[in-house]
Amino acid sequence: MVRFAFYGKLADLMGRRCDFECAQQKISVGAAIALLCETDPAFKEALLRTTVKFAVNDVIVETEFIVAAGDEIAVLPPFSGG
Amino acid sequence: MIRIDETPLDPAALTAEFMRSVGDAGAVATFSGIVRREGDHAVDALFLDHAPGLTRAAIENAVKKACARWPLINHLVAHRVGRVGSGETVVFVATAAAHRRAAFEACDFLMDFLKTDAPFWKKQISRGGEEWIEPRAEDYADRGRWR
Repeated sequence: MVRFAFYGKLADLMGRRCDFECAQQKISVGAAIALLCETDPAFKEALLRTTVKFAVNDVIVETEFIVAAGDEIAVLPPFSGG
Repeated sequence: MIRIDETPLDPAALTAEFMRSVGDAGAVATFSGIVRREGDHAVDALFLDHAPGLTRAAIENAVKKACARWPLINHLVAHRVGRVGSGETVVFVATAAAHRRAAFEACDFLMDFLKTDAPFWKKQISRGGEEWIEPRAEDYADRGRWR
């Protein structure tokens, strides 16, 4: 199982968190996102319209990063503070 | 000090408190960012989302960079999250140094970082509806000055 956390406009679309069942024991962030896109066309469409970064355990990671059991992939649209 | 919460920010009180913690600094710079009452869309409020651990870690990292670049005596970064009404202060940054240039530039650097590189997400709430706001090209250009 992979857990996702969504922020900003993606949280409006997906809710704050969702758990996603997948068969692989080890999976990269990019592969997990691709699986989620397959099952959720609205999410896939949203990703086409915005640039996102990813974080695991409060650290920004690349899509090649392999998530461990219990990790949460944070999906981060463009930052906008201040 | 870094403060990220829903508590209203009072720039005068924060400045007074900060001034008591700057030792023999010769310069203190402060910046208050305020939700504009009347922008293009008659803004009622902003809603600020954040990722608590990630946001704090990112600001701590920016403060580290600022301290490595300028000889700061003290700093304060205070950022609201949740709903922030028009006219309210959404962000307050203070820096103290021996001389003005370091205080000005470090404050400027930290604000540019907060606009584009800190994990906050800002939704504008107006009578016309709600809209997530992304940084403007100028914000990215401002941030680029420090690379």
